[in-house]
Amino acid sequence: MAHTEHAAAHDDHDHDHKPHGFWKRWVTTTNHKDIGTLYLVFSCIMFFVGGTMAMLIRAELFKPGMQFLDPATFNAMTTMHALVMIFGAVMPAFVGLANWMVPMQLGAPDMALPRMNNFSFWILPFAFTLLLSTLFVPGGAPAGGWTLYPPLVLQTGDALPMAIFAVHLMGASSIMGAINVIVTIMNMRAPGMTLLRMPLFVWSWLITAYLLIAVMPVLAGAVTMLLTDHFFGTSFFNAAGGGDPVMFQHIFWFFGHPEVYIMILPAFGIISEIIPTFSRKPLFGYDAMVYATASIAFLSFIVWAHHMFTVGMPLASELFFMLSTMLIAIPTGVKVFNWSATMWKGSISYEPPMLWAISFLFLFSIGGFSGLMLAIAPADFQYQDTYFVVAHFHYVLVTGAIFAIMGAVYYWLPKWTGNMYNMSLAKWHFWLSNIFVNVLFFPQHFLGLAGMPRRIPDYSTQFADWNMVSSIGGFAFGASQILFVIVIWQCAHGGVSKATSRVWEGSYGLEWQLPSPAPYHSWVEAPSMAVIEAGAASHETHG
Amino acid sequence: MKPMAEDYSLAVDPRQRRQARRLALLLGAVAIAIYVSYLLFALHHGHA
Repeated sequence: MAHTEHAAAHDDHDHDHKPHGFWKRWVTTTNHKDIGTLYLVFSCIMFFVGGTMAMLIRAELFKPGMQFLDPATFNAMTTMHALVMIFGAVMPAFVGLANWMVPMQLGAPDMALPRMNNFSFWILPFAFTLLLSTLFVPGGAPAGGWTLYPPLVLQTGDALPMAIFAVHLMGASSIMGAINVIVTIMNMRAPGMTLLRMPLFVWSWLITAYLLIAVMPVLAGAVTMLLTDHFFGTSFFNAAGGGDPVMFQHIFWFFGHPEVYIMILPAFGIISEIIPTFSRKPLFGYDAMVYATASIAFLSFIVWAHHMFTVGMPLASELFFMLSTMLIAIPTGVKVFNWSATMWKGSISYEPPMLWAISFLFLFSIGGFSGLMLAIAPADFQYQDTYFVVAHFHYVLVTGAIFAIMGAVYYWLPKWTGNMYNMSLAKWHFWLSNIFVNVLFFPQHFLGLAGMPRRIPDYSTQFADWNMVSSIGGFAFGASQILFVIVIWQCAHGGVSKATSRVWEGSYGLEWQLPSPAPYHSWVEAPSMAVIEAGAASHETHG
Repeated sequence: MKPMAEDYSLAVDPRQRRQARRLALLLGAVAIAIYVSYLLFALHHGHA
């Protein structure tokens, strides 16, 4: 194609501008692809740090009685595991994918604010060094759960101000990243790419970025109040001083529920990219997908109290939050229907990205259904703080968010590296992960329904069997992820063959019009409408 | 053509720079306003 040759010509030219030396290439970089890579590598490291904590938790719970950890360390592990996985692994992975793909999918040369982009990333290693160093201070790491509820969290030792400062830093990083995404999308789309012609991944990130700007300051406000309660004698959450600890829960979950969608909406965008490619059909109901994503984002602001039904609230409030939560099933159902309809009568092939997308569809739906069960207020009184909740949110976040991230990496890796990866090793990774993630999390539904509380290092012997099964699943799932690193490492170092510019037969969209690997500076000149439509037209011939 | 302008603080087309800067500042101001308003709300309701 002419534009591919054009881009290839620029490729040679652009390579001249690639900075030499580690410091200039990686530390002071303003290039969206390099910063995307930094985010993804950081996320991968945090994934293994958080995963190691999960392995310790599962080792302790392998059988009844105390094995390896004292109770305080166990509680610190559950708290830190969540903070590291949410703020260190899942969110930076999505920001990394946005950095790589949003400019390429929009026909833009870079993110709108490149220096701020660099700053957004480099805050994170400091934030997580600070957070993880709390494991070594007197009094130990925060151990009151990632929700940081007072008054329990105020019993934290020297680690409290460190953890609070780390949370502020993560929030600042996220807000700057979100501003960058919005300004890029609003100002740097190629001529002719109207909002309703943008790829779904870009759409989902636009909505996610608005959510981030709306709720990260709320988390910052909540933890600032914790700080002043602890050190400056205020009583925001101290009942003895006229405050209210339940107010913290309201503020926290006003942040916390949209945060859940911040971690799943970009995943929806990824799945909406992968399924049409491997079904060789355009996405069914594009407009409906956009409106459903926006509806889910709106609803995320009016459901927060379903996390705290058991604190005691008026019946009218319980009904409101129960029904508003159930409403979310409608736009989510639209999405699942549209993904299924896209696959219907498609010429489907099962390369690794599609396997992850199909698995997402099934397993995320399980998490969605258990979410509906939890939304029912009278039933939630039974489920509250049991392993049923743990099973639910791990189906949403592991087989939802993380599986979508895996799919995205397998989808775009040839575009990033210019090499094809080892398909059979990638499929081994997929199948082992999928078998063992279910061995890990499905029995936790049974444990929760039988009454096993979450966040405990020891348990009654009646829970022993399923805990052992769950731990075996956990160790095997964790070990399977080593294959992921091997596949990526091999691909980055030559892979099994060279990737074409289009990579996948059914792929469409601007990123596939660029050569593989994508040139260091892509779309130095905005693509024309003909280029934008070329991908879609060639895609339709497959349909 | 050099891939980005000499000014690496912005990658947008020179004709859209003012618009991009304004939007970025507006979004930043919104975030700070939400943060401050939460603290003021809590203070105002006598919990401090």
